[in-house]
Amino acid sequence: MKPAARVVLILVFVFASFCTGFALKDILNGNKPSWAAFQALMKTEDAQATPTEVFKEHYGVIQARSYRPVNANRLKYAAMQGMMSSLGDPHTMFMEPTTAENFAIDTRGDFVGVGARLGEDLLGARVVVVFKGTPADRSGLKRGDIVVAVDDTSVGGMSTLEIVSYVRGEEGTIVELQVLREGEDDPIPIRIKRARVIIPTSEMIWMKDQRVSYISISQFAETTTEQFRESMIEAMKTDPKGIVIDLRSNPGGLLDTAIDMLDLLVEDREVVTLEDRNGRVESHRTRKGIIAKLTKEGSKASGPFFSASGDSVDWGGPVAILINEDSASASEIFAGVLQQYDLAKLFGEHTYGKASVQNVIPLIEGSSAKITIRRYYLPNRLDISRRVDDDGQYISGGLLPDYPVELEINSDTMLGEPGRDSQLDRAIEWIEAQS
Amino acid sequence: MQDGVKSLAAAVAVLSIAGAGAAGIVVRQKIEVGTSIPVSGRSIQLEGLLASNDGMSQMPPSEFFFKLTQLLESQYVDPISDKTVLSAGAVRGMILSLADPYSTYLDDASYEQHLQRLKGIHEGVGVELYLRYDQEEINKLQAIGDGSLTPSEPVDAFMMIPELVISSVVQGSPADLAGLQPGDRILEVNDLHLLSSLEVKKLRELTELVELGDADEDELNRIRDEFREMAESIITPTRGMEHLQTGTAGSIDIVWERGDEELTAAVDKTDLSSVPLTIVDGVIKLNLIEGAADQLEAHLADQTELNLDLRGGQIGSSEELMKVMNLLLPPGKGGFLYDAENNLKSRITIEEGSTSQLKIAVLVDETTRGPAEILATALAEYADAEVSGPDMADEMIWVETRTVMSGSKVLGGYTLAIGEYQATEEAAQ
Repeated sequence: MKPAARVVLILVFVFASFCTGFALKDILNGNKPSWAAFQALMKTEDAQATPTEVFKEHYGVIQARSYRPVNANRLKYAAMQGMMSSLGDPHTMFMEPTTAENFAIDTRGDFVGVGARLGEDLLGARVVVVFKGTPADRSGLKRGDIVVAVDDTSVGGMSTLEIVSYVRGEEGTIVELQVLREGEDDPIPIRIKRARVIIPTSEMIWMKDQRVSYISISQFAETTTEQFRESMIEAMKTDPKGIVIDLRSNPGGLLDTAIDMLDLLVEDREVVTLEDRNGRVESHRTRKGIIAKLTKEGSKASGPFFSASGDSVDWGGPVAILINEDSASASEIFAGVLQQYDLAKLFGEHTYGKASVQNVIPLIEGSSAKITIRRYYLPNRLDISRRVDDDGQYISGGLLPDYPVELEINSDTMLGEPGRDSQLDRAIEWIEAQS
Repeated sequence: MQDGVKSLAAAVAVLSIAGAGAAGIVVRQKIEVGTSIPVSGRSIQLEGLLASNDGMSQMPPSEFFFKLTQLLESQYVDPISDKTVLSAGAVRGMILSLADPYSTYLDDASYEQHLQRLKGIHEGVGVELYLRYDQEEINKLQAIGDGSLTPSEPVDAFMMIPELVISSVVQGSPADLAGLQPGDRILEVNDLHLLSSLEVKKLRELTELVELGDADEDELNRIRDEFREMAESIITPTRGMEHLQTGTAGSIDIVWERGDEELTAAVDKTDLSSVPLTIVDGVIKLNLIEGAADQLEAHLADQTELNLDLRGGQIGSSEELMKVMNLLLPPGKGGFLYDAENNLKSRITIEEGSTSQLKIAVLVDETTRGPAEILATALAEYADAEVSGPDMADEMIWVETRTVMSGSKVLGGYTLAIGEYQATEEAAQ
């Protein structure tokens, strides 16, 4: 071969290699090479400014010229927030360092503390809730106590946030609170060992008069599956006529948690089908019903509902799930799957309609990006995506209740209290009618 | 050819081929995010963006932006067909973060309307509006921004929902006839509610009081009920703005608040176009909209006196204001711009200016605001003008209008407050 021919040949290879590299993305995805991308490569004349150039220009203008003093980092993060929300998907968002940190605590469901929630009080901080089984509970802290001093520091007049920062500390260390309690003249000292506290996200209440187990799930956090499991075991022990699961205003949480929880109830059924950007489909099925395999109504099994070893049992009693427009995401999967297989009836109002899955990607500077990566369908390829009009008003989407019930609100209303919660009452009424 | 040279040539050939392949991948990625091919050929790595052990290092804004768009591009559930929305979104985010009533982001349609209004073409019921943010929240944001406060809670999104407030009413417009006034707060348009941080705050405070046993639970339940009903039909303040400022036919039901009073009316939409300059009995009524300076210059050709009426000021542009100042003020100083913390930001200089000894009289009142008020103040200081009338609105914020463009495509635009006008430097103290 002549040298000239050799050079030409090499050039041909170089070109071919470039083209292969250029189209590699399509080839790997199993598509035809994108002609549009090749065209974009050739078009250089009337090229638009790139998004980055446009951003850079205005970042500079705003930082230099704004009448309000601008913090460079704040402006940077605000731009990232705006950029990510511009896709029009309310679930795709940028989270600044602090927001990201709190989001992590929320979905993990635990933190180091004493296990009580504090509220505003002129004298210090008022104990609003003491969570069961936490150090605060064991040390005898009571709801209504007013914390007036923390480790010899008087906290009267401080903001609740400030007081909380004194109460929190290293795991295993001791904090001493002085609390005012009704009926006591002097403050009582209470010593509490700080520990990793798990915020309860699932609680069971046995409604004796109605012989109904009421399980309220506030969130689908990492710890929820275990808590729900305990709630279900407790519920089964009471031999209830039926179970009410309250998912109202439950914003969802982790997809895996919802699937794990359905695992406890439904054996070997398709739960949810995920579809990604390339149309790849991934189905999740439940494994074996671990605690109480729900069966269709009317096929209620006799015998024990719960075996001593904790093995699966068949339970055909009625299950009612309470929902409203603030029930979203994992709540909708949980309720929707049971509804689709006719294993539970839904009561209340239509749910939010969030049919997508997000991935949270930690970024530098402690920030993170939450990005919608998949869409999901419930069994029977039911799509519950929320549709809104130009003004953002709800048109359709979400799960529809089998029994629509509006919540009656008056001075007596109390969620989760029979007789004071119209949606719960309707569900109990239905359960009564089943047996 | 010697063997060594041969194998070297072969190696070079192989490397070129491999390199071309790699370059192809990189170029493709760059094209997908809409970026031009860099001369330096720096390869793209997302690793710098993702959290790592040295996670506290700072990344320059444009690099952060570029990498984040790439991440989005590779992860988001739908292909991003129009990447220009990303940059427009970023600008919107930055403007929102200023939490400044005079700085507003406008998407392409609203921006077009804004430009039309600057030309005197005005639609809707006849109001100018602005977004008012909760001052406490803004202070908090600013404090977090400059590092003087460490946030222990995420920024509360509910507290960042602004109120929609009227800044001025076009005289004789349907809004004027219906009794709307500057300072009124819009609560509803066509039965759609504009929820703001104020309502959220009210509810939270009441909940707190009830928990403490200091307030009646009935009241809380009543407000909760109201909330629930409102939640069925909420629109954003910017959408509310659009409802009020577009269209020339039909009418719109408005509920607004003045003090503790709640008022309501059905207000017609109409064509409210205005002209830059009208002359009544030798007095020139000037609107600082496009064409004002040119028309004024034509009128001044053979005049020795100028009687200006700057009352009932509507929208005006700082570009037109600057032109009129150049026409009427002598060359040299034209005033000063201060930032929100009262630091001198820039000086306004009159380049050409007027050399004639024009005798100027200006009529003002409390509706004289913005560019009109700046003009009156500057004329009094630098052109010996006699200003008469009641005190003006005391609202001399210099606002620029900027277009967000990608190539020749307009993505939107924004107004940006760049300073508060002071006629003299001493006045700042």
